[in-house]
Amino acid sequence: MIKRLKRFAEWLVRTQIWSSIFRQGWPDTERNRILTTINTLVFHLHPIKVKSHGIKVKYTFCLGGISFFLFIVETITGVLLMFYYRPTVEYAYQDMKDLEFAVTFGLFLRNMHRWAAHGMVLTVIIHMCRVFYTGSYKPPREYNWCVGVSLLVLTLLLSFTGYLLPWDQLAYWAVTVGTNMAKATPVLGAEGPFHVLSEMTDICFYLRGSVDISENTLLRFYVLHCIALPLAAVGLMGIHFWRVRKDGGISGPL
Amino acid sequence: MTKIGIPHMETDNKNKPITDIQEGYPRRRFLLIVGWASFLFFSLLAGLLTMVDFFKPKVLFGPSNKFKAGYPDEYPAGKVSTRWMKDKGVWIVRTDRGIYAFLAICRHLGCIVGWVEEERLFKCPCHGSNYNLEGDVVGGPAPKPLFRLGVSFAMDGQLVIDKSVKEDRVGIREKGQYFLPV
Repeated sequence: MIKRLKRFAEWLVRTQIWSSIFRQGWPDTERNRILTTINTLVFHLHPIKVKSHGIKVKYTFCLGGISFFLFIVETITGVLLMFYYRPTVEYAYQDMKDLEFAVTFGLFLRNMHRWAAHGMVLTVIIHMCRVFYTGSYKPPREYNWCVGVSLLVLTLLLSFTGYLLPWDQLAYWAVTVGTNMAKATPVLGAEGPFHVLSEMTDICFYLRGSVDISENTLLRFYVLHCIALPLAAVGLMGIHFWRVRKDGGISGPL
Repeated sequence: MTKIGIPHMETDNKNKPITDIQEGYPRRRFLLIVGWASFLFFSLLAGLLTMVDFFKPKVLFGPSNKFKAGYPDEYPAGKVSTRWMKDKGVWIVRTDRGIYAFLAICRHLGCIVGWVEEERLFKCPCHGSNYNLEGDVVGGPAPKPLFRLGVSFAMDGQLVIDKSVKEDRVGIREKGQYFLPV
């Protein structure tokens, strides 16, 4: 049985279908392991070799990895939620209720999306603390620290834009309060210091797409939440992971 | 020499220590593989069926298939009424014997068919299928006759058309719930 499986595996890597996709055989030799890493789009972000302290969980606690995992959970559950959600004043709340009571596993899916979002905010902040306390922000990693701060901001913006989408009382007033703060922006806000713009042209108006929270706001936040912010996050994450490798590998104990 | 079930008790294996489960105990190995394989199989099957059920819409939006179409007196005999054409895509036909209704969807590729009074034909604008007053194809590429719909009376004496009840077979479509004698 085992021998036959081994023979099948050897035959499989010699077929044209396998060799055209993976180019090299099983990663059971040094050479093939290196080739697997550099020939695969996803793996090539990862270093070919990791320092042995890299598997010491108690130094990094895998907080960046957990954040990334939660981002993937958010993407998958989010795409599934999009199949049953319409960002309009007429349907948004009703669709959210239908997701909870009519769609198969909809309640589970919605809660999973919500709790993974809370978890992601938490792990990203703890990850930042870990990087600070181990001094991993110091040169040559100062640029990656800045990328990380941008990713933290994107995580918070993703949470904030997702907040409005259920279109219930909590969502409406939370975003009313949240976007009202933009009015206090210096120069750009209608009520901030050195204000020059009116209520119809200030930064809050651009954010809401109207004077009050309206269907324009819902659509704006929906597009930001589902398209613009995730795309920006994916791009920055690519840079972030790649720079971890380029800036001397995963940080470890001295 | 008779074989004994437990390999390490066999004489020829006496000096060989059993190092891992794959060397000896073929039954254990077999059960391990079958166990994990069936666990994996049923997990994947359950996941797949859940996904299929997730994508099946539980709520359908849009107008009801049933609608009230007014009183029979509003439909003169020998005429095809286009009154519900625009809203519902339905014609109501009244002959001297009774009332029946057509679904205005061409049986070729699903365009909306129009009634041409001068030729007394239902004509499809897309590929030129023609149907007569019975709904039978008299020209063009349509492979089947038009669907007739369920017609009945409501409590208040109005006609009720049910678009979810359709029939095109000769002999069945002319009676029962598809024909209302007036």
